[in-house]
Amino acid sequence: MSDAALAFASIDDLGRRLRRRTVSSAELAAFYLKRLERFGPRLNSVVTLLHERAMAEARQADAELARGRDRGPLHGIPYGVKDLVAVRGAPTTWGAQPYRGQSFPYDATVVKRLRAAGAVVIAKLAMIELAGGMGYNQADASFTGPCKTPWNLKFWSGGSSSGSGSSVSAGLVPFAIGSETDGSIMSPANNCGVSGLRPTYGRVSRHGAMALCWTLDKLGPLCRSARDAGLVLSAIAGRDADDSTSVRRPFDFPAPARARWRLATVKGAADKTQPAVKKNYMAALSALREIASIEEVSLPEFPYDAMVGSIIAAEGGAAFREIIQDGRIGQLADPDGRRGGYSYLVTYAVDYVDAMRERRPLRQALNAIFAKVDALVAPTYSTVAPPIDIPFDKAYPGFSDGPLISACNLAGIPAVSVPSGFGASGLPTGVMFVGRAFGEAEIIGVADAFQSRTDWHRRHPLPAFA
Amino acid sequence: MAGSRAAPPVPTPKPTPAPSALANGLARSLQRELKAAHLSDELTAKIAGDIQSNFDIAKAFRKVRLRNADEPDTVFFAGRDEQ
Repeated sequence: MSDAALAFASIDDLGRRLRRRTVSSAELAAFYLKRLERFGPRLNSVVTLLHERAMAEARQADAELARGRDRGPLHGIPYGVKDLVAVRGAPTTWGAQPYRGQSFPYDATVVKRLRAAGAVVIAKLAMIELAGGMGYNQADASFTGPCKTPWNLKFWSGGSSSGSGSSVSAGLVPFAIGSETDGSIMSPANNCGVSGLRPTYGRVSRHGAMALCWTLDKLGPLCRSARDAGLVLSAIAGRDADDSTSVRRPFDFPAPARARWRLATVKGAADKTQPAVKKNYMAALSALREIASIEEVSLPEFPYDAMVGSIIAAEGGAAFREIIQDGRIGQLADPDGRRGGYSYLVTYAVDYVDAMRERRPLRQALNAIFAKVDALVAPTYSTVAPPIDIPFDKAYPGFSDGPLISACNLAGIPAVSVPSGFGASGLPTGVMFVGRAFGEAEIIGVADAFQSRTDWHRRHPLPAFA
Repeated sequence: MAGSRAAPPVPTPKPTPAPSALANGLARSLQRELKAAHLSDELTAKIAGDIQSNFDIAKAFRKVRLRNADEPDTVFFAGRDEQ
């Protein structure tokens, strides 16, 4: 098997090779560490490599397989985590200069669960500083510099789970853990052409992960396919006594095969998209019509910008009050981020409470839609990745994203974004499937069915990352 | 809200609002009270713009007809840690 084929292999492929003993977990860990060392600096996608721990865990995984102990599909598979997830003793910088010296004496629950599933943590991956919570308007919003999409190094990886998306896309790790408050998994999935899953709020424990917004933050995987994302979610989902918002709900993956799905497009979702995004979306709908009925629905009207803005301001302002008040946010890389937190300190409490009051009727309105359909389908974003050297608000004038990502984050419902083709400058586009609360198995099922009819997820940025 | 989106790949450009007297006053109050932050006059003026932008966006709440009984989705629960 060539290096490129190994670098871009799926979790199932790697698992088969491990069990046939054609490769060992230690060889895989060394292989991906070498790729991270070689390509990470080119992409600005890596913060810290975990050589010692990676090799120790990999050798343990090999020893267990040799004596017949198989922990499941992730056994022996290397992975990376966004640098807001605690890995015992390793730097956990939150992407931000004020926290570069920070580390924690414990593993985050998600790391513990992946270890219990046999996966091998090998790297801490770059991210937008403080998950973008203080605001940002440029790709260079991290002390590690602008993270790039492997498809074209002049363009942004997306964020805030920047290194997670970029590293998976370039074949530097088989999968990675990211987080989303309001688009931070969907955006790198779109810009890097990978499959990103934002789970239902409460599905995955956030213990040991940086808090930006306690009522919006979710952890989820970025992978080569929707199926891989399901395999990872199976390992990390579940109630955790250390996160009071986590819940014990079954995740029956894979979902039973279906002859026909019920999908709905969101009215207006493709109206202000780049032509290639729209064209690829229409082609995706054509492919989906082979397996689904598709109707159109309207997103309920809510003050989405005010809701998500008030919650990020109030909760993010509280979470980072100390460095706002003492001026350390002045050390952030992005000029917007250096001052955004100050306005948070004077957010009206009644606006925050009203935002939280609106979330229940929003959930109810979306539940009414999901009583009739299995999933919503829409372009993930209105454009391909913006250039790294132009402020976001100047990059693509005339195109804009609808409120769907914010609406779904406010409602806490899951989504999976998968690649749908390519647009300007050879950059990928994405299509996302949104499901009912705790309906991850269904949206992964429909995304998997889509990927079985398309090959966009099998395209890789070669030969640059061979 | 100004500068508050967690992941805006392509935020919609918004004209910078002229800060109201209230927004300017709040920004100056932050400048006075947060001595350790050493907020310059130039930065304070930008913060006033952020505050005004946030106020303008939050006006949307006033158009919504929430009922008195509509509770926030996160409520205090006295017995939470005992479960």
